[in-house]
Amino acid sequence: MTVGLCSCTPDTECRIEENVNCILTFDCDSIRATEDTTFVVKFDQIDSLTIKGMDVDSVLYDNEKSVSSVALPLRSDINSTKYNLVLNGHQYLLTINHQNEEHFISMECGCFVYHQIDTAYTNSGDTVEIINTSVENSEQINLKLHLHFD
Amino acid sequence: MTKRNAILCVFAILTIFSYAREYGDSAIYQGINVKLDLGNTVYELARSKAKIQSYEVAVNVMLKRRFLPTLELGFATAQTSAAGGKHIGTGGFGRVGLDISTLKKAGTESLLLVGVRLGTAVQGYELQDVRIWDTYWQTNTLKSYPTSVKADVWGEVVAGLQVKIYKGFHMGWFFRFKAMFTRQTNDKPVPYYIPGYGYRQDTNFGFNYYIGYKF
Repeated sequence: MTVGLCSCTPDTECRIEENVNCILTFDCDSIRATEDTTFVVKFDQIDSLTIKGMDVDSVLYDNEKSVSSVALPLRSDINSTKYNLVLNGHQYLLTINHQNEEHFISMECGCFVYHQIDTAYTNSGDTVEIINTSVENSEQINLKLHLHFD
Repeated sequence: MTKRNAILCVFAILTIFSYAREYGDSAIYQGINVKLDLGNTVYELARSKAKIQSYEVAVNVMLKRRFLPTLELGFATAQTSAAGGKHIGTGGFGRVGLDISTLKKAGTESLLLVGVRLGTAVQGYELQDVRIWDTYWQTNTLKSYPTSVKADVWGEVVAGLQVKIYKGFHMGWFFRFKAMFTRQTNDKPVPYYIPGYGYRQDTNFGFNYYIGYKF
């Protein structure tokens, strides 16, 4: 009887491991010169990367090496998310404007917020290409940042 | 319910019970049992400190000393919470089904029963302080959903005992295995506690301790 009664009370903690992040990849080029000629080198990995959200203390990526994609949580309380990026020693301010949609999961987990990206840009003028506007998990690439290093 | 309807109900119940008394010993029909659940009510009052209250009565008719078509009606109110929010709900429930006495020698006084039920509950509920997780940005947003009404349907397999105590009085218990038929539609907030079923899970268990009277 005790076993039966105890099993009526559920586990009240959330057991769903769901992360909703905007996935950003990189498409970089750099002009290299030899004695005879100059040529463009294309690469999609950042040698050194630091990312921190605007107005928060915690650093999301701290001097990470050889990074080809990053997962950026978007804000659920407002419609604009800003990140300070330091990529190979160059500083950028990335702004992502988005809509938020609350999705009820369960009483244990509460709500998760999904996002629809409207626009994305940097202060440097480098192009941010929107690959997929819908941010509902951490599996699909959403943005590609085209960078040019001298 | 109007006064006229209440009087009609009382007359209807008295007519059924007088019929039960008059024909209670025929080969087909052996009487009506009315049962009040005490176990579940006391358990919920003690465990949740009255934040959950559940009350139910059951009526069954014994036919051919073995078959007991059953109707169970109840009412529950719940104020309960989980990590993601709070549920406040009130509603009624009903179950219909059939019990079969499994003792080899079929009788009417002591019964070992197995049976099935189809249950349904309708409740008004609201969800408060539903959490929106945002660990990196450290925003702690709470959302409330206004009162809505929802019906749920489930099935049960039951097993239990019924023994005679004194004259027409008897007691017994039921162990219930429940399976929810109503599924959560995507993203719509659903009640956390369901009257007559318990906490929303795909399957659930229940226990009733009854005191009853046979008419």
